[in-house]
Amino acid sequence: MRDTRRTSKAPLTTLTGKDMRKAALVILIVLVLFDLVVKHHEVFGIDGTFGFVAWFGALACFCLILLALAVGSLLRAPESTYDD
Amino acid sequence: MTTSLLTSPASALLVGALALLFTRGIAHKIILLGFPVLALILVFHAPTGSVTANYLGYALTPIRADALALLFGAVFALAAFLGALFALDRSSTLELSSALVYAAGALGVVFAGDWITLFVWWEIMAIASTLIVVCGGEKAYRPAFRYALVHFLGGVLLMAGIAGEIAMSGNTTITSLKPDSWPRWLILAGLLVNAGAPPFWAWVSDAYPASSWSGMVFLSVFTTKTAAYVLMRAFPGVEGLIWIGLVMAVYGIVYAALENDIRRLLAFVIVSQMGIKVAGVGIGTPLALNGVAAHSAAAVIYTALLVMVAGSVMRQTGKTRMSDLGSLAAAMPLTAFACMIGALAIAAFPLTSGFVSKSMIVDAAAKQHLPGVWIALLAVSAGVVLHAGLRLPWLVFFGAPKPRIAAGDPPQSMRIAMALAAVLCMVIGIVPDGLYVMLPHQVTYVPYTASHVLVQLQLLSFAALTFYLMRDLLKPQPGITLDLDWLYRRPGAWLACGFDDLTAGAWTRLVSGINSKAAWLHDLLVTHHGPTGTFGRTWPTGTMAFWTTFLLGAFLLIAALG
Repeated sequence: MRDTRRTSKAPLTTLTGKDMRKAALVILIVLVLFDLVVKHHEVFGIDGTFGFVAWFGALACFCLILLALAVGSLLRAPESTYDD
Repeated sequence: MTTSLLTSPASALLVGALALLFTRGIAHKIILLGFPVLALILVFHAPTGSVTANYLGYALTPIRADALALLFGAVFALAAFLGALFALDRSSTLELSSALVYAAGALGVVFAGDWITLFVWWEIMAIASTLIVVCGGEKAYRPAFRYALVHFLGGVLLMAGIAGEIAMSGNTTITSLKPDSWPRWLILAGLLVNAGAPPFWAWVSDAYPASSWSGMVFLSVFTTKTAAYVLMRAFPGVEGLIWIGLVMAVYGIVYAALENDIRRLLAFVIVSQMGIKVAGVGIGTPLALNGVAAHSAAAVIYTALLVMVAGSVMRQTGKTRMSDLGSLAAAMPLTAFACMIGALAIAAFPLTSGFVSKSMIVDAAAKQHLPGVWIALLAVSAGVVLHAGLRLPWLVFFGAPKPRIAAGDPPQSMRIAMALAAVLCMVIGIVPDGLYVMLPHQVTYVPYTASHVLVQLQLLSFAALTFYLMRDLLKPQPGITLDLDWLYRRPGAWLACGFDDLTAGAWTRLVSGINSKAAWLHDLLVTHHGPTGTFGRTWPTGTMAFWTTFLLGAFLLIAALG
């Protein structure tokens, strides 16, 4: 009985995860495609180009994560550092 | 004038704080909740214009109720009420009373029209907030001491600047200043200490998480936001503030991304969000200043909400490290929901308060044709997913389950406080006009355009995608990230100890030198004047007669010769 529950539950969880990832991917693509129909208020030139904010958001987050990892590799210390 | 002062919102909270000390039970709770509500009512009934007075020859303006003061006053009184409601079960009368004094100090600063009045309330805030940190328990004593030292340093800088400014200009009124003289630089430095700017930003992540589960709610609201308010008043358009603000924003994101403790993470978030506001003050246009005012109002509510969530988790589970937490959503559904609303608001998701406020500052940078500032603000807007926007809710409420943690949603008063704050985040986001009419400058701003909504959705969703793909690199790790406070907690402490040893050695040598000289003098006196000394012992009568005769003879001889 216990084994049956496990096998019936595991595929359902995986499917849900896959479905969610697929749905998220579709949403991301649709959001970028909206750039074809929505006119942006261009100020600096680049901000009006297709998909600018999308790739910039991803790149900015990527750079910040790299910066965090660099800072972490240099400045991480044990919690007992100050013995407070 | 006296009536106006007695019926000011700050005075009401001071009376409430005093009354809390002498009441117990239901009366205690009524006072705790009632006086912030009374303060809120008094904010909207504050005398229009200014109330002035003279003290020691200085023109004081204890109350100046203009649009900016009314907005901040209303938000602070509201936050005091939410904090009091959240802390209704807190047994520490000292903390609750200090919290009302702290809120009174913040309201006093907001309505102060002159530098002298401002400074008095400023220091009241510093003392009251230190007491709130102290109420965190024994582990909070050292952080509280460091907090007090930093804030008193800020107070000294501010006081020296105010004294210099009044001496040079003769003007006590708080007006827009250009940092072109040393007193003004000192005032700016004093304000930036409280804003959490470098090099003293570490006090936020050092002291706030040391407070109790309820104390941090009050702490997260007043000190930094009050500093933003005074910076708006005194130093709008100072370009250096843009760069200081951007450094703060990036620092907060980077350190929060590495942090394991949820309350320390939120402390870094506070600095990061303050950075955006400081940058907005530096831009200084009416739109940017409206943005700072609106973002401050929104941030007070959503930061308080997130800190309440962290406080609830701390109280219900006894844990604050994300490495010890996970999958709490099922056990604490309402807290998880409140966290999601707070996360959406801080991420400036459409239909939340962050969306209708933060975007004004970003747009102001674009309208001023500051491409570097605009791109940096856009980047830090994306970076919010690395902390409270996604990482915090993900790891605490939806992440990998940890060994079973006995927990449930917190008591009713705490749940209501979180629910009210969450509702406010949504209401401000859905109907922003209620906030916009209270802004200090007449600027038309429409947040809900197709372009604006799309930009924000793209920015956040693709930032979230990057976070998802790199999430394993940002798993919570035990430990801390060394900060600028290392300078005064390690080399500074060694220098202080060295100086202490040096002065102690010098003092010891001085005291032993004096002692040895005193002993020598004592021995000398004993030798000559002691019981057996030449001058002290009893002389024979014959000897006395001989010496008397000798002296008289010598006297006669001298007189005869003279």
